[in-house]
Amino acid sequence: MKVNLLGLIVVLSLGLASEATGQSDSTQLSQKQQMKLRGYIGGVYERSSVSPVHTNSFGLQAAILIKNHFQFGFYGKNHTYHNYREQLIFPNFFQMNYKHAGLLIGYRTHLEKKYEFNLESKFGMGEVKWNELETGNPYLADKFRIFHLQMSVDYLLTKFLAVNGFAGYRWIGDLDITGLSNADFEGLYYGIVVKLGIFK
Amino acid sequence: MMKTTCKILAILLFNTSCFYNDSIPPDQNVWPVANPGDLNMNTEVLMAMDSAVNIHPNEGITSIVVVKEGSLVFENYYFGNDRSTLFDLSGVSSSLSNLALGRAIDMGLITSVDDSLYKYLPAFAQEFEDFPLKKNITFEHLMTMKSGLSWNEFSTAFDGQENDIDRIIQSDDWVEYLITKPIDVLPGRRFSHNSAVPVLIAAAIENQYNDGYQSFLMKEVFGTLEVNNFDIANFRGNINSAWGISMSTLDLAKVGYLYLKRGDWFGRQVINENYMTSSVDVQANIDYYNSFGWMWWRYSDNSNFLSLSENDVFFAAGIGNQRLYVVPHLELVVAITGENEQFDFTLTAPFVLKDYILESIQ
Repeated sequence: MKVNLLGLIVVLSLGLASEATGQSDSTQLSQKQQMKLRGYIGGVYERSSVSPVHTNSFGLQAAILIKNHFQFGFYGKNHTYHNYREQLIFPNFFQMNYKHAGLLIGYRTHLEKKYEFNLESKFGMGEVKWNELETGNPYLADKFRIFHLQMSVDYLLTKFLAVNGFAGYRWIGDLDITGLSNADFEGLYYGIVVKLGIFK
Repeated sequence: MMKTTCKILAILLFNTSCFYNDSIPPDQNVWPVANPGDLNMNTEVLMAMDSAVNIHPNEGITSIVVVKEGSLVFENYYFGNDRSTLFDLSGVSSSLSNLALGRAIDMGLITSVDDSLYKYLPAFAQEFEDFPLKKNITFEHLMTMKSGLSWNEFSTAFDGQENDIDRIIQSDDWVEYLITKPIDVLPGRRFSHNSAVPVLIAAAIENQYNDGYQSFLMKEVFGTLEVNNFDIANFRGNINSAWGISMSTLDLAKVGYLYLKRGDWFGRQVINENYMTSSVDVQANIDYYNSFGWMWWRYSDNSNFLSLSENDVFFAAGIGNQRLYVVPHLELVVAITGENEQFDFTLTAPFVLKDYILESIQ
């Protein structure tokens, strides 16, 4: 419920911000510029907390940029750092893996300068899976909802290449699986995205 | 541009949905998980059991689940099986028909265990009229193997033409085959093991329940225990409720746990408590070492096989090393599945219980 409410607030806020920005932009940019399709695809590295350790995830992120400021796209990440192991159900040891994907929306400053700051949120669905260590077979799993709120900064390397550093907080809901709870996944995260696309 | 944007978004959403559409093995949300050491069980003995099963691929044990004091303390699968495997329960199925009958009585489909079978098999009314002694066969007689119907199951080989199990499998109508067997002895007088009598119980319930026996099991019996996946064999239209049910080991342990709690499923009385108690009490003494309840086995007081201070163990047994043990005074449920039907075990389910699981507690 908390996740849903936060998601709704951010979506509304970004929608209003986008609307307002769109109006001011109209005095600065020609209509042709505004209608130009911009966007990017990027590789993501993220480090986030899954209590009691930190985990690494890699993934993809892609978005289209509307009216220079509003981005809308998707992301997907897979936990790949195989150090989360437990003797979950005696006598076997298990490896935890998780992945999540969803929609990405954000308000971003127009990347005219080398550095620009952005506010972004991601809302998605994910899956936690315990794999039996000996066989690698999935033993049990559960789906969850996830919501991110993050700040990021873009650094434009070339016309088509940018590096983005981000940090934020994430909330998890609906996770009900042996050995893990929503609280284990909630917390701060940070990472980088290497973006390839049309920004200006 | 709007059109292009929409197309891109559609592709992105499609990619997103593909990302997390894996099939998910079901979790068990019945018991909390605990390390056996936390419940004073010797983990080294349990590890020895695990190794013993693992290094003997021909011993026939395919899974073991142990629930102690309301916590899942051991769960393992062997030789390619896993949590989602539906194991053939063989004769354990007949103990499940005891559960089905209890539920049918609670629902008013069957009046009581003392009710006569013939009232529920109208298609065979003429048979009962022709042989009125059969009208005296009650559900209790069926469950205590004292129906009086002539039956030859263990005195000849299973592949022999004299064996009733082989003959019923070859017959077109299993209920007809059973009910037309001659009366050997007055109903209620003598124990004579008949693995097929759950077929008669299922037929009686099916005649009272509109959606059929399989649906009855799913909706009214197993569904109440959060058992959502099971299979029941069908031989040319004959539902094999006697030795044809397949189920996961975790789900089998849920059945055992319901009996341990005398029909109370986490605060909800699913089956009448008195019925559950009577089901596992001694109803028939078979021989010096074995007793029988209502479709549940017990060790007689003369047997010291398990070396326990209290002889309250009851169990369901299948011919392929399948066992569901309940030890009330230890709050212990042990579900073991197997697939060896060659009778060449060197590590049998009873010895897994005795030499490892009970040993780990003492």
